[in-house]
Amino acid sequence: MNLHLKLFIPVFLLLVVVSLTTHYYWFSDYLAIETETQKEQEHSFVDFLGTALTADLLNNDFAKTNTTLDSVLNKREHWHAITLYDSDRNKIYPLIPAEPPKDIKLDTLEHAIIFDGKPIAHLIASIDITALSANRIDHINYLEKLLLFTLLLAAILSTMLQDQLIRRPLRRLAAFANDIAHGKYDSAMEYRSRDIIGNLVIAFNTMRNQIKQREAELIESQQRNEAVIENAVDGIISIGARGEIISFNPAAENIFGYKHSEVAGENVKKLMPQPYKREHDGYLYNYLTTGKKKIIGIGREVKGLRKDGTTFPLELAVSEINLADKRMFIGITRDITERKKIEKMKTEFVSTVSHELRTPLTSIRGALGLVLGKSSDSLSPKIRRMLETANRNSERLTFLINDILDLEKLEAGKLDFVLEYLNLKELVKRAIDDNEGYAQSHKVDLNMVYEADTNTTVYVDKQRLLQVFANLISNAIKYSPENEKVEISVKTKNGFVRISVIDNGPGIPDEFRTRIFGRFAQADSSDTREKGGTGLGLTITKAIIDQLGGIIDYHSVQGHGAEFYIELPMVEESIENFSVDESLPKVLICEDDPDVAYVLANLLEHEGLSGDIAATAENAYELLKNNHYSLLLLDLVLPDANGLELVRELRKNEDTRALPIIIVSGRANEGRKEFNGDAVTVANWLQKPIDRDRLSQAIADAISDSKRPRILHVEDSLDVIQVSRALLEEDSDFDYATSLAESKHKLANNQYDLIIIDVSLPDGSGLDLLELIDPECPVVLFSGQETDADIKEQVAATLTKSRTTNNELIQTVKRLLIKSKQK
Amino acid sequence: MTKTVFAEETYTLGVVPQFDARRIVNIWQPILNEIHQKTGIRLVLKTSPSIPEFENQFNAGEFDFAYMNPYHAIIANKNIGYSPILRDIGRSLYGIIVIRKDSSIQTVNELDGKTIAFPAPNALGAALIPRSEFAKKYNIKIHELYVKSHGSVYLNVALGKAVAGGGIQKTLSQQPESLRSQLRILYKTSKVPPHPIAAHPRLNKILIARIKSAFLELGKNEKGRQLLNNIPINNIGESSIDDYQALRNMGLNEFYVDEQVK
Repeated sequence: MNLHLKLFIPVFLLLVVVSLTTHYYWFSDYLAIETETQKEQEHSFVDFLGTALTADLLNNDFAKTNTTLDSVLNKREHWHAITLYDSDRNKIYPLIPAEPPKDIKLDTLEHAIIFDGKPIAHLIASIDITALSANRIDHINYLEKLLLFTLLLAAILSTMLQDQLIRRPLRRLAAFANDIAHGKYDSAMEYRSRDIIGNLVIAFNTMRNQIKQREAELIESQQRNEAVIENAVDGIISIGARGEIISFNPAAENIFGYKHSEVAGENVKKLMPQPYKREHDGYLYNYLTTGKKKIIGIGREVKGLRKDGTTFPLELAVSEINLADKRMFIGITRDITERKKIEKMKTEFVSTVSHELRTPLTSIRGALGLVLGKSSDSLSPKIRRMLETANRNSERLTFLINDILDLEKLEAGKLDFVLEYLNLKELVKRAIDDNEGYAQSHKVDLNMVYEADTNTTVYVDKQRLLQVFANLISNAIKYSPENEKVEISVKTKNGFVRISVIDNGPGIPDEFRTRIFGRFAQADSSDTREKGGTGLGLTITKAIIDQLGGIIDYHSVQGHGAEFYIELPMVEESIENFSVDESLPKVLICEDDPDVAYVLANLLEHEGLSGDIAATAENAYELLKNNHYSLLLLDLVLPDANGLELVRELRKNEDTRALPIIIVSGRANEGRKEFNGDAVTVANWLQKPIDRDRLSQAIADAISDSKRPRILHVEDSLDVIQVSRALLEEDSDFDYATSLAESKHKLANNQYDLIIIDVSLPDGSGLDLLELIDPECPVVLFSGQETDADIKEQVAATLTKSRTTNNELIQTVKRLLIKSKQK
Repeated sequence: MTKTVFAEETYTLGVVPQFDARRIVNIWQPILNEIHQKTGIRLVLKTSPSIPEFENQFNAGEFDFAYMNPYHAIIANKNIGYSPILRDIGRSLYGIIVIRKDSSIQTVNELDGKTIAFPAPNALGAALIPRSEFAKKYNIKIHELYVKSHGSVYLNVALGKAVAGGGIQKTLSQQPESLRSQLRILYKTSKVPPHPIAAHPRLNKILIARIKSAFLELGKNEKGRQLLNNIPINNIGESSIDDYQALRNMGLNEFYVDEQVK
């Protein structure tokens, strides 16, 4: 249907509606009214006629009445007959009745002519009322036709006018738009009126200019992109939804040895060796149907297949794009044969260094530590000084090696990050606590200014972040003059948390700014010796913060101290009952004196336990009801109750009947007497003031059974075994094996409560032993290499040689033994 | 020469208003114009609104000349002395009595005691003469029913409102066939000469002679005859009061109804 018709149709429809409404609704109504009106008119005429005839009738002047009636019949076209009767019903007129017309329905109007109250005649008129109306109806019909014709004419004229004013410009506009659609941007359209079409024309002209410009830009951009792709070092391959290769850039040609023409349209599997070739369709199908990604969006190392049939390591990053509703994949490929070679060499080197350096260092440090710790008094001051020098330098060497290895791993992206939602305040407190000793040794105060929300949470690797804090805080301590303060402040801003470490040291020279986060950078090279440190701390710190998605920077004015700060993104996750070390066995301390409670908690931590504090009996009861505790340390004098009452109460309860309880109280001796003979048992009664050793012993007695645990240490270095034996044999039966074979033999024939394993053994990997060990028996990996995350999950604890102090080893073992026993 | 010596002579002519005034003027004015042409005498037409008024006028001698019905001519002659000078000599006037064609009546005598329709009491042929003859010649009594017109008379008879009706031949022949076919003529009255033009006695004989000859002259050519035909006078000729002697003898005045008195 052309526009002409479309423009005409509404007018035509209007016409039809008006006509039909007029004709069928209004007209039929009008007809009825008209007929009725006509009838009334005729009736009144008959009345009038009667009156006119009265006088003549009275005079018997029938000639006159006849003349009158003849004349009436003559003049009134649709009066077919008039009959006049006298009062006796004798017909007066007409003399000879006319033939009634056929096929015409006549209306009969009768009228009695009354004179002086008496009827003198009857007048009957036969009238074709319909015919009477017909004239008028004809007129209306004519009017209808005229109206219809006029409207039709108007419609045609209007359509013609519309054609001239609208359709023609529109046709031109359509042609113009068509030109634009076909890229003929030189086409133009002139239209002067500022009406809607004019606006449309202006818009189209503007659009044409825009399209022209955009197309030019697009072409330029496309050429640029093509140039980039053509000259890219990486192979860029685009793939359709069914895996067919669409494009293949020159770098890809170099990598795979195929020309673009050889692979275009071929399935990308052609570039893959088995098993990738076999699995590829599965990957693609899986992704397209389930959305599960194996490679897409993730960089991955795979094998590639060259045209000559050789395979090579390939780094592949696939991204998905939707181009004009068509799903495509872009694969960026890089031949990493060389890199792999270098990496392998490096890994081997690092592995060797780790093992070969850390193992002897561990025994040197361990032995020196033992000698200086246990036999210190029996050494001559001279020897003691020399041993201390040796110990200090072995520590420095240890730190240096650790830092170098850390840095290598960080930069290779191989350091595993165990990310957790952690409470920031607890973390900072822990970092300050960790460095308190170091601060005291430098006579520096650590001062925390916490201005953020207490529930502020960060998503980080706890150990790595603590390492960062330790670095920054120890640096600040190192460079602070004596009796100064180091402030650790925490603030939040725009979804980030800023942790600043502020010192009042000499500040950092401006010229050092560019190098400060570089390797072995210390402002004054002599610092290394004077201040200690490896010169790698800030490098590692920055690498860790980078990995955690944060930033690190500093402000400093020389001579006025420095402020190092890190910023980390905050996360929504709120950690309610944050505990720094959830896995430690828990002890409840019921003590109303906070100082005593703090001392007790500290002591427990030293024993590998964590302590909760309850200041009242009621509080203690609540905590016991809702948590599992391994031990209760109870003061007898409590603000709300006698401790003994609480003991009795706990013994009545099924859950707490067997809970070991140690009374630590100034009234312990009285309590013991009062309790004597009571059925409820108390593990131990300790009189205040507290004796550390007695408390340690009491705790050990209360929560471990009397049997000495059996420990097996699998380690090929006898020097390391010598140190560990010295550290552990006091509280356990110590056994060791120096090879995989010996270990297997010992494991088959003996029962152990805890096993310590070195990974590098002369005849194989210590990890092979894991499957032979009873899952109930805790295993500690103690190795020169950092342990991978998936292996960490299979063991109770991992310790790295040269990173672990003697104390840490003892505490880890003690903690695991307690936990194991409680199972 | 006379035209210059005498002032123009002007006389009046009255015409019985048996037609409406305009028709009368249309008929008479061309004739009077002819007369003026021929004689130099100007006759001025005086119309009358009704027959009684016309009677009053001629009884007062207002007209110099007058065209009137025969009965008027007798009255005017008797009262003022008007004498007829011209009349249609080609025909005579009489009345007819009609009855329904299917009526059993055969003689006038059978009309005794019956209702008889007449157009008006003084209609000469249709009423005066028949009434006079019924009374004097046939000695019967009738009930008169005056119905205004000749047509009404015939209709009343046809419709049975009257047993018989008085009319004249001419008006009966003018009725439609449907009516005429229902009627038959029972009786024709004695004949009388038709309407004369009469002259006032005060006019001198020469003037009357001049007028008379002028009219007679008109009747001699086709155009004049045509004009006179409209009056209607088909064949104009001289007349005198003697022509109307028989009518006078009928004693019509007994039957004349003076409308004015009424």
